[in-house]
Amino acid sequence: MKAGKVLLKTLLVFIPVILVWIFIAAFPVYYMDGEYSYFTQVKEYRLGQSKLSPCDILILGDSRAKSALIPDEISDSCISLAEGGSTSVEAYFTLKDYIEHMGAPEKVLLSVSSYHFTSFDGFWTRSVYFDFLSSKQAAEVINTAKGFGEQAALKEAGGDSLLTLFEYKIKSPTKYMSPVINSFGENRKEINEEAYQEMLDSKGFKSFVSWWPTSAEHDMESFEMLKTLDYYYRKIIDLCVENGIELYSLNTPLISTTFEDAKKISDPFSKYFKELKADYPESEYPDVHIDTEFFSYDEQYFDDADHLNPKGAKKYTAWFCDTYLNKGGAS
Amino acid sequence: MNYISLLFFVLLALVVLFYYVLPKKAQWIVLLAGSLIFYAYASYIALPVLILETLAIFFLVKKMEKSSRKKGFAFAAIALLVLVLILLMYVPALWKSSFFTGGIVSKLIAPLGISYCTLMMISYVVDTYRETIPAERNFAKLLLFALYFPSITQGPMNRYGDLAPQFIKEHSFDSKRAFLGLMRFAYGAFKKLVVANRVAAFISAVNSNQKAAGVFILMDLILFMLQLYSDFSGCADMAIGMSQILGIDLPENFHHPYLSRSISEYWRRWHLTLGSWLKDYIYYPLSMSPLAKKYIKSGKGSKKMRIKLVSSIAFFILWMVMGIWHGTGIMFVFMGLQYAIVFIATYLLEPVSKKFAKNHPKLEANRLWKFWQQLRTIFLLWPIFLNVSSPKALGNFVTRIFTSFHAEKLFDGGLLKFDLSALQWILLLIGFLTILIVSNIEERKGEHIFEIVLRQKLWIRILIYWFVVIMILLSLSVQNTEFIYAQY
Repeated sequence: MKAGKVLLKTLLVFIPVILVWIFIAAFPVYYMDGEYSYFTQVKEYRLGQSKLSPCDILILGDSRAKSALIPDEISDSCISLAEGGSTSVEAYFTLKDYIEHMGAPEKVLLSVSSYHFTSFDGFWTRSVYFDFLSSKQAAEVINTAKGFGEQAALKEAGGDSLLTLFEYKIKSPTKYMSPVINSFGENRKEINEEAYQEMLDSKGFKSFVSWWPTSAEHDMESFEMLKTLDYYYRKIIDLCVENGIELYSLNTPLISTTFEDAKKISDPFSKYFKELKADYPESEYPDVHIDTEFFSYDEQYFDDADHLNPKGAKKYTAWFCDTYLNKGGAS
Repeated sequence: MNYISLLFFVLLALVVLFYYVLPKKAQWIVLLAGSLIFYAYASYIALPVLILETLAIFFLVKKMEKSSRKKGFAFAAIALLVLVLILLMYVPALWKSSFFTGGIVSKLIAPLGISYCTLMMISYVVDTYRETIPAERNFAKLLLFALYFPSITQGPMNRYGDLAPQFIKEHSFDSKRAFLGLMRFAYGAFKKLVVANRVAAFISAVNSNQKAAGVFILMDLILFMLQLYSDFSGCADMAIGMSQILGIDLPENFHHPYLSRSISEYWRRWHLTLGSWLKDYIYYPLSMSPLAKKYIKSGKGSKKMRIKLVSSIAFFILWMVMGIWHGTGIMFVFMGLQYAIVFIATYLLEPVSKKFAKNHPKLEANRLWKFWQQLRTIFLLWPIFLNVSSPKALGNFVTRIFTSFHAEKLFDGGLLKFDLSALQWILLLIGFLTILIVSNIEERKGEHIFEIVLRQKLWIRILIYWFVVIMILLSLSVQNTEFIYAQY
């Protein structure tokens, strides 16, 4: 056998791999679950690739923020770009891209739960996996984490972070075969189209019922904040200050059981926000408003240990508008 | 660096490229560079320790060759190797101290391939002492022997006399051989990804579920045998396959062990290179030591009995070493003890079983009887101690099997609650049947499956290759776990 013939034979053997690879890279809506469309919708919007026009008020943060603040109740020109599992990293790049492509909004409502200051949570499983962050942005986060000596916290099991990022970016079957298999027997294209439309209709608001019985605070022994996440949180504030955006850093309400669980971390958590507040005093930064304490709502306002239900979201959104927007006069 | 990762494929492709493009005299240097990169990626902190250890052995053996006190140098070299192994593997595990849990020290604990490397270097020292091989004159070549990347993860365990000449030999690219090597590698990946990883996912889910019914625990314990074999032999296939691409023959490590009809036959088929190492460097030196010979010749009682006693003691030590070599917990001692008892009992009862076989030739030829013998062997060598962390955990498993078996849960959807969907179970079953069929074909024909495949018509060959490739692709959905033996 000549080398050329071997190469040809090897290519013939690997035809299924080539076909699967093309499918993975070209047709994500056919195998990804519905959450993919939530992220895609936000990504397209922040990059100016969506039909939606720019809004005056942006909601950023994680799933608690997404389920707690109802854009339509706040303003006609408000949209939620919060996403499940997001930390300050995703919120920062969302805002940065938005300003670049859509212009600066008037106000930003930012809420990240305590757990999302201690874990990169959805960085790999959502932000990189759904291609929500660009290669450059993800690599920047990895290098920042390395700079703070937090590469271990960011590392996906079994590999170097930059290499893992490369595998995701080239849509390696080693990373995407799982949803392909799980999509067997399901019409995921339809699921994705519905999810996309749902996000457009609700302007990014969504109620969640998570399958786990307890909240993230239940398992947290202490509040060990990652420096990288603090770094990006501060970058969001700086970005707002630079662009004359009013920033509301909020803590969404907790259900009583979670509130009890959170007591063991409430002191350092509040301390962090108090320090942040001291670094951005209202006298010097009148547009930066920072909530510092945990607080709770009655059980009837929740459907699980983490997220407010629509009734709870209405109550919290109304409270927010009354406390900040109506008081401040700008709505 | 896992053998089934993009990074490793890039490394392997570069090694193969430079290996055949650069002048042939530099081929071993390419292998050394590849091995150093591979090891440094796994543990750059442990690499200097292994280099220094190899350097020490290199000088000690060179000194030994010229010295009149050969025994002293050989003893010193072996003591050094054993000491490093004890310090890096056993001391941190047995002496629970914060000293081992943080910083650089924690990264030195049980580095990749340390157990394999130690045994291979001991064989090098003993073989040069016995003058069956000359001492290596080039330190870099000895280092390549110690760190050779295709086999450092979990063998096969090489002998210097077999491997070193192949490193020096100049290899030309042989496309048929390379293709066969690639297929062997793919079949190893098939065993690991299609079978071992799926079983690992199920076992991990059962082991972490305190409420799992007894029926699943029994399945867990039985399936562990399948995981162990497909993981371990899959890795050996990959190591042999990639070496084949490089023109290097590694020794076979498995020969369908679960088709064995007796304990001794099993050990002639399972982890062959460890078995032959234990025989050559533990069993023979003990059973043929001056002390043993003196006792056999002593004339006290029957000579046959004295030989049996000496052999039994040697077997006992051999199996205990085998158990302890595998790991640091008490369960590994139990495993050694289990094999020692089974093996010595089989050895002592050998005349009875031989007589039985002679008196019942028809039964010996009976398929059902053969199957029973295979089943009995598998049951006796059930690697139960490798799957549980402590006697307490084993006791807990056994109690749950007997007190809450709940066979009905197998059929009411309970089986699907342990990380494997119905589709994953079907794929696992297909993988298992494939290994079983391939084993039987290879056993009957006496040659490797891909030699047989190569003689088939083109379309059949393509269908077979695609089957392997598609099964591997479908198995990328299951989390790829580390190789079980990589920790030894």
